[in-house]
Amino acid sequence: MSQLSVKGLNVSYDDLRALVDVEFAVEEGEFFCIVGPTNAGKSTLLKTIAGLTHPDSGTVLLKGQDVTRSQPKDRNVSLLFQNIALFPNLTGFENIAFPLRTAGVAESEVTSRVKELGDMLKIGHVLDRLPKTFSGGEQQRVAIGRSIAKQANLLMLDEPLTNLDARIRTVLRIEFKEIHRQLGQTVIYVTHDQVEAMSMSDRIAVLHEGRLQQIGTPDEIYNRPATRFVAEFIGQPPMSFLNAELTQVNGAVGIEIGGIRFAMPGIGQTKAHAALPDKLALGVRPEAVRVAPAQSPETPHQAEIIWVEHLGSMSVLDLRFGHDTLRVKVAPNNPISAEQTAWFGFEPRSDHLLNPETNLFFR
Amino acid sequence: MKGADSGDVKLELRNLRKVFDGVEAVKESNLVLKRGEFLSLLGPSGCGKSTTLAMIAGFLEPTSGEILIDGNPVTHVPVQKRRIGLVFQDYAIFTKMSVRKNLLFGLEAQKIPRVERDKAVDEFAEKLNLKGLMKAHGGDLNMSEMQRVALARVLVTKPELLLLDEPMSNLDAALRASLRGELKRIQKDLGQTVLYVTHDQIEAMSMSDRIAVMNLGENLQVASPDEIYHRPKNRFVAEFIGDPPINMISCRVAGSGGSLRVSTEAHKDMPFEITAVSPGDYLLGVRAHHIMAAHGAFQGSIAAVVKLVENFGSEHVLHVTYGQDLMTVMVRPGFARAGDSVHVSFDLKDAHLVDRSSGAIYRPDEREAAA
Amino acid sequence: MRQQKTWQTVLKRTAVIVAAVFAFFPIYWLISTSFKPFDEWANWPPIWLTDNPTLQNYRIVFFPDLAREFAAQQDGSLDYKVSGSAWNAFKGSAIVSVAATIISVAFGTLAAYSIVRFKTGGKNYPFQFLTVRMVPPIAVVVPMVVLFSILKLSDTYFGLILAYSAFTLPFSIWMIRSFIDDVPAELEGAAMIHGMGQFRAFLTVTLPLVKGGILSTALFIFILNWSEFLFALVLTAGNVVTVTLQVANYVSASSGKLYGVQAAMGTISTLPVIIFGYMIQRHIVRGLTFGAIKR
Repeated sequence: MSQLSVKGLNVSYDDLRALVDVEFAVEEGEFFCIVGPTNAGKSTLLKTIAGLTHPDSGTVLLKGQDVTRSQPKDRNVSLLFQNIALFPNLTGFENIAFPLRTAGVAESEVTSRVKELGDMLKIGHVLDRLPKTFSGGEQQRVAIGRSIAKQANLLMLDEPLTNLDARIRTVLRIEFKEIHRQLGQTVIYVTHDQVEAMSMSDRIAVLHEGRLQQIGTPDEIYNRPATRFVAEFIGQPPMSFLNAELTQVNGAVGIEIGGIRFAMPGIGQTKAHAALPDKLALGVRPEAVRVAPAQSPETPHQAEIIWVEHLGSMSVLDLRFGHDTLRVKVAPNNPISAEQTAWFGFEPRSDHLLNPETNLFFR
Repeated sequence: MKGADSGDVKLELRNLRKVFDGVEAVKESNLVLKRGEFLSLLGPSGCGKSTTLAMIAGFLEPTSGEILIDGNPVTHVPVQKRRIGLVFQDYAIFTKMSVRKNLLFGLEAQKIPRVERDKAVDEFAEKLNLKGLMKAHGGDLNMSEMQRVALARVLVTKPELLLLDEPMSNLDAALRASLRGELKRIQKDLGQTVLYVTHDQIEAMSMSDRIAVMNLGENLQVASPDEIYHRPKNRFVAEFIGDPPINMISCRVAGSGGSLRVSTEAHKDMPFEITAVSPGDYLLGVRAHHIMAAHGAFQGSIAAVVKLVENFGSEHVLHVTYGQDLMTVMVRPGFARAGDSVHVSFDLKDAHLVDRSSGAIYRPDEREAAA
Repeated sequence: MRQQKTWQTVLKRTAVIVAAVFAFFPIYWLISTSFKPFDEWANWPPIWLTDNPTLQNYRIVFFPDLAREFAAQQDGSLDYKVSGSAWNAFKGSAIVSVAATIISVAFGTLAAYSIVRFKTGGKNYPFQFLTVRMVPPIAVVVPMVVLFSILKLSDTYFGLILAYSAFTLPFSIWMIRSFIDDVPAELEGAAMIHGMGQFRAFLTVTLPLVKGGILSTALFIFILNWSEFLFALVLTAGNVVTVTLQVANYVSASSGKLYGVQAAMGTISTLPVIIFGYMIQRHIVRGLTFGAIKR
């Protein structure tokens, strides 16, 4: 039985449909990420699971029990809000002790548990101060301490790193994973940053405008995105889409893009491919394209480099051929460093063919 | 960087200093910005970058020092007379006004005659692709449109200098990436001199001609992104730039004079080209993508255990044990899983020698000569 | 900011002084008059500071018998008759104002909470509620008198308290609403998630944070109640007396309005308000939520 099971969830506010038919399950001990742009419905989803909002329809089951209409206090879930919500008139210690004291835990146990958390989260030195004296990172950690003080069925974190400096985010990401490993708790982590979602989760759910686009492991989401939105949202730089047409190449089915013909081994081998329309789109990941200053068997096609970004550990090029533009990622030692004519090559993947009308990939 | 002579200096800061309640928020800043240059002030919260910007804009009076625009001192000139354009966080578009009124705003404030105003607005609407949006309400725009309107509104007054204070920090990661490219393109097309404040090193790296890395009020290094990435001057800069953060590996330097030898877990007494350091314990800064990894042993490798795998889609980052340290290694997807044993090593010429206490990075003489 | 021209400063300072004079003059006059003997009350040109300060006015207010004795001893003192004792008036005002303030603030807090957290009544409800209060009270005097007579509430403490509570409720709701709005719902959410029911979360988490706001609202409502005259006049008939009525009662057939006595009564009746305000000022602390919430 799953730790959390959400079925057919629909939530609306004032004519706005915040969540539409949301359905997924999270297993015990999993680190599950919900990722999507702002206003996709992520916070609403967490609030519904926690019980701060009741859905219009649908069910929420925690460990098999229907809690859809229960009070938050009866659900034994923990939620860390995006704006932290530390009690401003309580010290760090009292904040973390809050859930334990509310549950009636003996004071001696409360003290030892808070100390334990203070050591683990490296905030022992702020425990006797008020939140308004904390730095951003310290506030974050105290809030985390409060949310894990009592063992809950489910720990939910709503964009916990969003308000922190880029540098601190990178460091805290690793710490989160480490804490998760130690505690073994089931975690739902919400973020708009796909790098966080990809690097931290066991499975990811992509949410867009209240609807779940896809659920899968990071590898699945990255290599076999289900919709155009997922393909463009996950991966930095995002996947480029080229307009393609079905054509014949060496007696087999292939595609033509901007006047260039590509063979497509693997095409026609799935049911979806049995009825491909003539006009398609092909998704190409930036690291799949090879670029060189001179023509070679690996880079047989000519193009114009119209934009270059140097990012230290890699460079990003905008490649233009015909009417299409490709975003390409190359190693930092690639000789191409400025706008110029260049040569490129790549192998189109049959599982990256997209239907331009439905924006769904052919599977 | 574009070749330019001293007549091209747009902004100059001379010994600019700001003290708040006994705390030096900005320490003796000396900075030169050339015409058409895109310079970023990059650093963590509280490093003094926003304070510096506020002084340049005129909202804050410096404790000491001078600010010169086009060679003219403006240190005591009021804000509205400095001919500087400012774009704030969240862009601050007037939501109840049409786009056209937004763009006209600054010109009307400067009492520019009507005909000239309309001409300027049309010109920039064209340049920033806003022609179709002129009647739209400020509150109905999407983020990319808002950025362009905020920029157009400020650019239409032809400012000497454009200041941006973390304009994208509240935006989604995906949006930031696409807006970065647009902003840079607009800046390049117009040749506008820009000073950009941010805490995000990717933003600074991708858009700037030069970056000033700041911490605790000091400019630690002011150089091109390439220079900062490949030849950081100190530990802070090296660790601040680059994702994943640079590895800091313990090492020991022995020997003297012209023949120093370096030892790490994987390296035993390897010759090292830096001549001007005394023996002792140091750190070696090595980037994750300079670490070589394989499943089996190879020349100079040691065994390491994978503690964590971060999936970044097109590559994976392994966190492996390296002696007492933890090291990040960039590998292709699917290379290894947590718990696997792999073999790693790195080339000393890719490493930066870091002083443990001062954080200074020592350069080998030959690299210095070539630079 | 920087070089502020001297004439700008002088102009600003002058404006402030003029405003201060306008604001404090009535109070100064009140106190000054309360110590004047009766023949100096209404002189023209006005006597700014009396050379013959007397406590007779205060005696009349608090110890009328003593005052009569005193008056009998002196020639040319005023002859007067005032029904009722000032002590009764103070008692009446105290009971009515305090009770009505407590009721108004208590109900106002609950209503405000409901409006802010549950959006009771819709988006415009608070404003609609306030517009009701914008009707000039004198327009409803007659209906109120009739209503009170039918309900047998005329000239009762209960009746006046009810009227005052009702009239100040829109203000309570309006003011407390903004204080509760300042406290993010997530704080209560956090408390609920960590084991509390909604109402307990409100009491434990939100209430302490809006305490200052509620107290300042209470002070405002108290001032309204304490200085109310119109309804005290029409809804009472002698059994219930308030300070405002008492002041109006200091009129003599022979000597006309007893300004000095009125001034004495007025001066004393400002004291409770000042004391209340002083007592609660420690609790009105801004920025209570700094550091605990990210916006």
